[in-house]
Amino acid sequence: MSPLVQPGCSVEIRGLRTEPAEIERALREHPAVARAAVRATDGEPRRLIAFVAPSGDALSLRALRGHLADAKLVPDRAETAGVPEFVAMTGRGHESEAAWTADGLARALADLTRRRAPHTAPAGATERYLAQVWEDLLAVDAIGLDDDFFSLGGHSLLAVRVRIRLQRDLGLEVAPEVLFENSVLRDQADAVDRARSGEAAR
Amino acid sequence: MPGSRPIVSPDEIDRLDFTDRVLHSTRDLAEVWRHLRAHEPVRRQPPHDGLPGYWMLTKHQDVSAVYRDGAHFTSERGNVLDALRGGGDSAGRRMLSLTDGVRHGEVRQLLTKTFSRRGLEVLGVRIRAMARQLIGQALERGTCDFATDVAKEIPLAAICDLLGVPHRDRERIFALTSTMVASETPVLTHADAWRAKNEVLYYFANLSEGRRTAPAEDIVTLLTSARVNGSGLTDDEIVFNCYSLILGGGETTRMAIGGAVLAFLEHPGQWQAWRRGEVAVETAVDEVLRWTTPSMHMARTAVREVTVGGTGIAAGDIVTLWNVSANRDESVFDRPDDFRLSRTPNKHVTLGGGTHFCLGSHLARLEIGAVLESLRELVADLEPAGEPARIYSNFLGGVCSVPVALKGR
Repeated sequence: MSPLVQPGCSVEIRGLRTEPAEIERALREHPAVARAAVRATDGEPRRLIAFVAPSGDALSLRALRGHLADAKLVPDRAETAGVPEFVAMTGRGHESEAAWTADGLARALADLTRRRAPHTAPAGATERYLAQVWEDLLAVDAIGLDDDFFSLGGHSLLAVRVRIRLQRDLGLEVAPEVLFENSVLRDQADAVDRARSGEAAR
Repeated sequence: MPGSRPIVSPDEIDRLDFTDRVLHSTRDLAEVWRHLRAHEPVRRQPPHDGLPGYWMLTKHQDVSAVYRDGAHFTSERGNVLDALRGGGDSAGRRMLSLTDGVRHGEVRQLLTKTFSRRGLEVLGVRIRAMARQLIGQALERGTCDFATDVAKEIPLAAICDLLGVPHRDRERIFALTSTMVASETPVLTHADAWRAKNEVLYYFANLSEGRRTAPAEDIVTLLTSARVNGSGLTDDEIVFNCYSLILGGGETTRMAIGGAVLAFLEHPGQWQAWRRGEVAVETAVDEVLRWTTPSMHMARTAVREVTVGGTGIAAGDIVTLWNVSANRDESVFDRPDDFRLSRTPNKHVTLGGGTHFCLGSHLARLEIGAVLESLRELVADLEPAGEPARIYSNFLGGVCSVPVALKGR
């Protein structure tokens, strides 16, 4: 488990000066956020982690990044440098005080890290599209090609929401087993591409 | 005797896997339950296959007490064994039956009027007409499969009417819901059940989206337009509650109605007593509910340390309440293994208890009562016409096929 430190007024992340306390305050002010804590990892390379608990049912990391960019606390929306990595504190136990102690936060980060595959960035259009859909539904950022939908907290209703997005955005009807059997992003993008070319051929 | 299963000896208890869907379908566990009630009413099942262990409660007194003890037990992590051992139900706090406390009361309040005796008056007329019609058709044919021709149709039609599911979609919804928690074959895979559940959720996500722009007089519209503390239900809550209602409304009562006719075939004396009009319908319905016990078990999680029947249970432990055993508890029921329609009092736990007491209890009683009354009015005699078949599940218990020959009055 990587130890976390509560950074002071300013900290350098990958050569960029950021203001963790300001970021934490801005996140807390966002209406979709019930509670937030911003910490840095202790080793090198140093990473900035934002732990956020949603106030309602949905938590859009995209909206939170936009909110931080609007407040000029992180660079442009398109940039990723200086933007904290998010850990959504949802589900059982994360409402408790113990979850927000130094140990609790380190555990939450370790738990998410354990469920993620080594990162390979999505490249193709369908891969990037699905990564965005997954991020919206799972509140996990920087989805990689080898990440697994169910390992990241996906469940049957969230899989239904992927199907609804595919229907709405791409006009594509996919059977539920397509998502169940292709739960890794890379495979799911392939399956969606196959389904699209199948529809086009018809 | 139609449908009799080999009896499992209590000597086998330590080797039994109570989560095995085939066990409950193919073996008769009555002696096992009797032994557990007498000797080990609060039993600990050890962890198995990397999945957590759980407590089994088999006495009526303990089962009833836990249903009513909202201070020590929660439903929010799940209320059936499979979901709890699998790490918790994803619908926790987003489905009424998996929500506790203040929010539970607020959301339940939205639905109580629809499911009240008064709220169901109009639907009751349709249900009784449908029961007469289906049994009349069965009489014309001479033989029928009561489980599919009658028991399946009535609860499905009633809950689909209430939810607002169009007629053209009902066969598909039935095929899906009957695969979600149980199966007619022993080889249902996890993927089959997952696929069926996913399709039903997808269906209701689309149906509820449609009702936002085209409201109707149904529960889906009621849920999409509801306000609780000034805000609407979330999309997840709407879809999960529809899922819960179609499953709770369609599947359990199907088991009770099919099981009632099987009980008549097995106990011709009770059929004669019923036919002669010796028993009030409300009394008979309660005995059918006790005898069939469609929800074999329910489950809870202890939220803090607690003592049940003199045994200490730790916070976080999974506790299963075996309704099938509690309903045959000799310390509560006189001659519990007799099917006796005139039984009073009849404090069965088939519909649960406490704040999560079955929301659809009036609807279930109405449907079962309508079938019993139509049988009495129209049928002179009934006889087995083949072997009944049981569903495979560790949660839902009952018959999916009851071939029967009917003679009119």
